[in-house]
Amino acid sequence: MNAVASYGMVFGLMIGLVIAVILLKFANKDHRFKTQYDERQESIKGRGYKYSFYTLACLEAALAILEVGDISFGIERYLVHFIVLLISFAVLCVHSIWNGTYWGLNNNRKRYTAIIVIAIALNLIPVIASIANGTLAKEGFNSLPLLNVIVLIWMAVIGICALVKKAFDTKENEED
Amino acid sequence: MKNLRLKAARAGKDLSQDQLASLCGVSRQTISAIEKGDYNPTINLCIAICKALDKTLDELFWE
Repeated sequence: MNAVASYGMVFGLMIGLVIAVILLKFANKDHRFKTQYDERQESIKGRGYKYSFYTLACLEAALAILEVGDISFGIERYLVHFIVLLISFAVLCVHSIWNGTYWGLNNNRKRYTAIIVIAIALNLIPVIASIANGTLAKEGFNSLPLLNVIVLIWMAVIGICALVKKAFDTKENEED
Repeated sequence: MKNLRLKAARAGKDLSQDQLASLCGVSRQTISAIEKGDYNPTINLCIAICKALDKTLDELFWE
């Protein structure tokens, strides 16, 4: 891809994102889709956002130092930044799950479960396709759609955390 | 410190944590946290709990 096409793609993506946010704002004018939390959940989420921000800031600072030192990573640079983003999201999610705040008061759990299943399938298909094509055997690890693999690992971590928390909650309820 | 009076009042009304939570407009985990003494509710939530359980603030929350 030449430089003009690259800039065009990046600007196109940014403008698309801005339009999507504006449309979402308009569609959600009456806050029908806004998740409601109670006072304890709000305070826990606030703390979660703080921890998430600190994690992002620390990791990005560490990355900047490594890049100044010209230390290269085994994977593409955009993937490293993506991993940093996902780690900071994971901090927020794990903190929320562990404090019983992951679900809001008005969340439709069945709808969310369906969305999660679709997201897993969408990320799993390219991975399975690359394995089925035989590119994994020929070209090795780099032939995998790494972005999808990273997202799947992230989802697995959050899922395991949710299951462990659920097991703890069930045990506590039995003791009560 | 555990709030055993809240737990007793809830049990007296034969309500589960889930039922009390939906009466007060909060999550079950929040009621559980208040009973265990892990969370200090605001006065608004205390009043909502008292109304749901037909108790006064003194009876449930005053030490």
